[in-house]
Amino acid sequence: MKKALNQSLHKSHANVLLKVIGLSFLSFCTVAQGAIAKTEQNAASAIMQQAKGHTVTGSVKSESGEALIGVSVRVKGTSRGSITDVDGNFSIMNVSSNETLEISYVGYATMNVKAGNAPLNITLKENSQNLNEVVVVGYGTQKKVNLTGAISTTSGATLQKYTSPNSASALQGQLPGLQITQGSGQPGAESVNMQVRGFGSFGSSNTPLIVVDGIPTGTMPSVDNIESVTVLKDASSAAIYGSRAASGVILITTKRGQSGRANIDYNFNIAFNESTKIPDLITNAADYMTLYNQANDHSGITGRNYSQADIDKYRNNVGNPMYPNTDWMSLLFRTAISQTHSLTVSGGSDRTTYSFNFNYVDQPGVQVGYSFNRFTSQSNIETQINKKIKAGLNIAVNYGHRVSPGSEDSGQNSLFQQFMSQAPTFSPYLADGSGRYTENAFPTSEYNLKTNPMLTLDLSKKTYNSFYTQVNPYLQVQLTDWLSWDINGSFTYSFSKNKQFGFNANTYNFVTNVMSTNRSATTSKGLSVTDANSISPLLFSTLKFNKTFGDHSIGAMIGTQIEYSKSESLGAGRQLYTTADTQEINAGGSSSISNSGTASENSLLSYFGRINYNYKDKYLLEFNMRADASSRFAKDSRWGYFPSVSLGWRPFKETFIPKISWMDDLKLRASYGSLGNLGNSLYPYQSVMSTNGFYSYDGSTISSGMAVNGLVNKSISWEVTKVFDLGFDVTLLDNKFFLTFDYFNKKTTGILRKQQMIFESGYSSSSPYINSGAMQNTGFELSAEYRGKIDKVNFGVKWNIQTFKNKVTKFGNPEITSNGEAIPSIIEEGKPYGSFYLYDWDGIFQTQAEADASGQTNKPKAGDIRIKDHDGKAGISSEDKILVDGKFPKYSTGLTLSANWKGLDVTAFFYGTFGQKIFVYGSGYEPFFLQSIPTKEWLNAWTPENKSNTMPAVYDAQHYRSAFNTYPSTYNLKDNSFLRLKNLNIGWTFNMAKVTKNVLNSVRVYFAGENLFTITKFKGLDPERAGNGGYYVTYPQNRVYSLGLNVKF
Amino acid sequence: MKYKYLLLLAALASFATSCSDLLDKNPLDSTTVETFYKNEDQVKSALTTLYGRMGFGWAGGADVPGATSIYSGIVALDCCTDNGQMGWGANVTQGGTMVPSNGYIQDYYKFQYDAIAKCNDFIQTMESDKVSFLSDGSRKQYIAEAKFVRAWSYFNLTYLWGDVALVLTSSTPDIKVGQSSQADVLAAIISDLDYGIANLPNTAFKGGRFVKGAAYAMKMRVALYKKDYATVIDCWNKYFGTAENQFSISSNYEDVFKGDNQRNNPEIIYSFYAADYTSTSLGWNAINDVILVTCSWGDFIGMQNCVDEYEFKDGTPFSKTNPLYDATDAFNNRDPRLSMVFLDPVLQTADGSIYNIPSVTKKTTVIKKYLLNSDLPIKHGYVPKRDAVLLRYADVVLMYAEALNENGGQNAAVVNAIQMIRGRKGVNMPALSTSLTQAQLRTAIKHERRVELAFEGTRYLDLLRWKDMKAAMVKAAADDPKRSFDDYQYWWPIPAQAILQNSLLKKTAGYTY
Repeated sequence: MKKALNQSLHKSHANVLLKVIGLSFLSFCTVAQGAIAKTEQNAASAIMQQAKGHTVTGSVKSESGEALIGVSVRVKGTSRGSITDVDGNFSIMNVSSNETLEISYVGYATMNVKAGNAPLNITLKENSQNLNEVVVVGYGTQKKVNLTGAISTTSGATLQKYTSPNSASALQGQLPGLQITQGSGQPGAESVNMQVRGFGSFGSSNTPLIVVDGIPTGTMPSVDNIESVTVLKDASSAAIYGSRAASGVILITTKRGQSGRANIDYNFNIAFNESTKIPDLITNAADYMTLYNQANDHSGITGRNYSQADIDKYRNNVGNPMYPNTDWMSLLFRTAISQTHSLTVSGGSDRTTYSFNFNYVDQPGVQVGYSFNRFTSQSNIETQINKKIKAGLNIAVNYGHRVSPGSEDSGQNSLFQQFMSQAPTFSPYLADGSGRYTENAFPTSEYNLKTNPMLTLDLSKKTYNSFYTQVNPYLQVQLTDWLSWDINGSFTYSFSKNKQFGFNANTYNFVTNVMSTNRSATTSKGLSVTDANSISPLLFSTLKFNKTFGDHSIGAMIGTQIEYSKSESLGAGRQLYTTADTQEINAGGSSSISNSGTASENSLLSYFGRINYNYKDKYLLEFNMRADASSRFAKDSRWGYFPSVSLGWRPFKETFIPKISWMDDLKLRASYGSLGNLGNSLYPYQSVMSTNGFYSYDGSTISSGMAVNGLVNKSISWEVTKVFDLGFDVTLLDNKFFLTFDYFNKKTTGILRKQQMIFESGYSSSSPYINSGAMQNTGFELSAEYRGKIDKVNFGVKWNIQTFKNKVTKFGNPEITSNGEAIPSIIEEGKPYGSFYLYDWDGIFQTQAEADASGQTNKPKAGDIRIKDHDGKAGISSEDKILVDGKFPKYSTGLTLSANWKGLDVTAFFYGTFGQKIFVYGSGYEPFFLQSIPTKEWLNAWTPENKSNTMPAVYDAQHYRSAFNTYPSTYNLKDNSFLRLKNLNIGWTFNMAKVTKNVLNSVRVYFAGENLFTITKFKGLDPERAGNGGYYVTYPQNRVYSLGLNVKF
Repeated sequence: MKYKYLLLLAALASFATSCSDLLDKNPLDSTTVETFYKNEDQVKSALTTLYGRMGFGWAGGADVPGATSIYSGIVALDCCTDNGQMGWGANVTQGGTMVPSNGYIQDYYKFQYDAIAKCNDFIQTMESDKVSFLSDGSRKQYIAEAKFVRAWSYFNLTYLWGDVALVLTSSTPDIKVGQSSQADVLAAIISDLDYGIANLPNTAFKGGRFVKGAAYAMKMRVALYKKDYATVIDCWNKYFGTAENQFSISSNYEDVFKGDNQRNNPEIIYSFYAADYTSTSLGWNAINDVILVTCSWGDFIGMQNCVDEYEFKDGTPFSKTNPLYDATDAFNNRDPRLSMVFLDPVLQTADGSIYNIPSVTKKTTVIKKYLLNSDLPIKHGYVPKRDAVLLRYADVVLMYAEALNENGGQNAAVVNAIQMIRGRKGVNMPALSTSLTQAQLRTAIKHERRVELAFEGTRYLDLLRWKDMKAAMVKAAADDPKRSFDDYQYWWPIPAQAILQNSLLKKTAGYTY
């Protein structure tokens, strides 16, 4: 029944979808035509007014003589203009011969040409990308050629080949130095983890600061609205962000309008998502039952084996609904069809430019019960009020709506786990068609630790609605030709509503006809709602100076910034609901209610400045400084100062250095400076009383206790990261080959962490924050790019590799995790942070005699895991543990191959990380863990008849003392190195300008795929996971096949 | 032009002026330590934290207070003995688990010191002039209560670890402390309890707070551990054997542990009230979902070994050859407490009326002590609460009997005392013979403690102090092959992490660190 329902849902979904595509396409065409008609009208009236001059014609070619299509040709200082057609030709009416034409095209240097009278033959020069490109830096822009710091940039166009709605995951592998891991494929909750140049601190956050259009923010704009992304990696480039820059800074600029005709850009994408990997569980009930008996026998559990008669019933009654072979995974996973619409309208007059973007994502999950919808809108408008003053406004509005079942999203209480813990011997609903939920089939053998997941799907729900808006007005005043003043404000408001509902139902055993009452769908019953909101106003102002004195060029900037943020939350809950249909607070019984509320605030005041000096484009010098004062620290330790200095030298500009024919340019760079990290706590130095413990003096009402929250240290301050960077940029082979290399040595000292306090103090878990401990990350980044042309095929190869080595240089007493807790690891000076510290797996006991002689205290049996005795002493003790590397990847790499020929373009992006290991446990790995169904490989488990030295005997992980509990070993440590085709995009562009008389410029249709294939030795679900490791079962990544349409008017 | 620059400078400067205001931010939802302790309500809420620590600190780490006593404390501890077994990893008497890196052992250790630090802070504040608004009597009562919690926590530490660090003042971040001898720790405990005897009100147990009788009972437990029999008898003579005594044996054994008559039962000297903690952040851990954990999940189950300890109703030991043995229902004709502590397997009928008992526990030994008949057949989900009894009069009487017997020559008094328990209404076991030898009486007292106090968290302590643990584990291995015990394990290992962090601590002998 449920299956049918799902199918019909899919069907109707597809129908709706097709209608939506059709309708939206039509309506956009209409809107677009209207807009263009209007533009033409305007142009016509402008012509009427001027009504003089002649028609200018011409053609635009590239240096290689190829006609350039879609080049903008504009009469300077007016809104009149045109674009070139397929043959590179253009014509503009009513141009007087002394007017200037401005010819611009992406990737080429803009040219100005006098209109004259004769037809024009214009050859555009390709932008020598690495030399003349302007990149966004902190509080400004800079010519790439003059940069002395270590930064990585990528353009929005590159990212837009990637169709994932999550901008952060689109950055993966694109920017050397920025390590991105996507932990989950859950729509809207991909748990993307970003890290710049290694794991910098064990006390504070390692997440880089994200700055969008100059404003520090927590949300990234949608991919299609990104103009460029810059990552500031070294102290020189990041110090301008001072106390929050230690983990790097990611600068994002959103798209601006260009003066000239209105551009309408509509993007549509429909994607078929499936999970990259689904656990291969046993679905044959008889096989399962046999294996279960085998596990019981090995585990010494008696009295619950399936009888041979029962097994035979399943063996011999295939197709009988009383004896199903349920494939629970197929009920959990589906192919989900998601769609994205994006519309951008941009353009402007010579004074005012605008860009409006609207983006909608509808993304159901590959796991049933999951979905995500998002609306994003970004509006940027800028106007030149007079010669000196420019004003602008950026507005971002986002709304997200995420739905999931009431169970947790990962781990032991997840829906995934629930599905895994159902035996194939029964199906979710009773075979009688009554729609009642099945409990299990064999009361003596099967007891469900996990409730029937259909009950969770039907009766529980979590919704997360988030609303985010940012308004960012600014003013730029050109005081003189060498001095300008910027003032920039922003106000951010965010609101989220988190609702969680769970209900109970009865489940039935269809063999015994017994009912289990009140099986709960989730661990928490009833409804809980949390509203959270935050406001953060921000204001900054800068004064910029730029002047050239002969060979000396000097730039300077000073500025100040003030930030405040306040967050509040309010929660309420009720437990007694009589139905799952009404999921609001008032619908619940009032006898069991709860509420909560909290607020917090913090602020930051900063002054910053920068000086750069450039002598003949040969010697480059830059000095940055920021002073920050944060409310998080006590008065006397509130101010932090973050200076940096960097140098650049371009040897080929020297007369005494001979030119090398194949080397166009070389720049050597060095920088050193310090960055800060604020830590995670808002009030780390304040000693407060907080609720601690509960007690009932009368046996009915609960009193909360109050106790000192923990010890404090008033003298704490920032942690400081000092970065030394050495790098070079080379341009070779006639501006076709670019190479950038950076070596870094990043030392974090005074890590803002909890003091290690002895257990006997009673405050070992609530010790004060102190500045102590140090960590070092060293590594390099290399990126190379070649752009070439064979015949009419343009192609590009972009490759980058990054690596870092992490070392704890000062920690104090080593910390070792206890047995049975999380990942067995050690934090010890001289070693990577949290290195794996575990027993060494040494095969499998083939005989009981071997097992008995081992000295393993878990009393192993033949078929169990053998632990290697490393210390030579009798027995296996903690001294037999070894350090195993693999905590951090050895390196990660990204390779982009792109080519285009006429209208066809192909981009393939490969991404891989190597040398990382994860410690895995739980369902899918340990047989019968939480009664989960083992994977098929256990059918080949060790038995006295089927001996193996790699596959142990099957056991019941819930009741058997396997080596895993006593001796967490390398058996559980898996190499998750992988290389995957992260993205493939094949498109064909039709130039429509001629056909539609410039109404429709181009149409691009494309196929895009994500995670199309993965090469890995890792046998679990997706090898890519945020954090490293742990639970075997996590919401898997998606493999996506999508079709898209891009229409430009 | 120039005025523009001035304007600019003014604008820049204006940011700075509001600076000091802007940057002074204090927590908005909690009181700072400096401004706390303004009235008695606040004192009481600080005291509440201490009472919340009257637990055992298992099952989820040190932050789970004693509300989980039944689940994680008293039943769990007994499941580390020959009384029962448990399905999760905390069982330290399972082979190979009692190691210095055991997370449960570490949690237990930490939990005690966390409670002690809270007590020390509280006592220090109560002795300062910050609380001058309190009357002297109530100030002393607060201190006495804090000292009781501290004594309780130190006793948990010292009977398991022996020589432990003794911290009696507020901790500072750079605190340095090594182990004190067990004798010093015990002396500090007795001193705290003596303060309680002098300053706690002498009433029956009510209002969830410690009374004078509790301090006496606890002192007897500590003295008995020290084999200081004179002090045990002295406590009896000064309090429980006098008119001051507020406690007596309940006329219904089962009432002590559950049901409508549990509150205000005259036998209870101190219990941790199990209110409905579900609305607190403690989550399900706090609901005392005894049924779920003792039966349904098989987390805690009894041992046949313990079932067999119960005599026949005529006082003869259990044996299948005894004429009173009923092969169809082994619970027939037995000490009536057997059916009150364990669920008669015959009731676990084939038709599945207690069908959610998983096969691993079914027809073995379901612990019924904390189950009401209305809880059966077992259902999933929330069940009504019941209090965790931590000190009761029957225990006191048996301690008194034990001390008397160890002093020797008082057989009649010993037998009389034991008979208060055995002869309780509804139990009515025959009295012991006064002609038993001291050793025979000792065995009888051990037996009585085991059957009377089963699953109340005292068995582990008893086996340690009698040095009977090893023998008990050998017997228990028949029911649970994973059991093992070596002599060095009479002390738990100081956690490996504690040793790593505190160089003044000595490793516990016998263990591999």
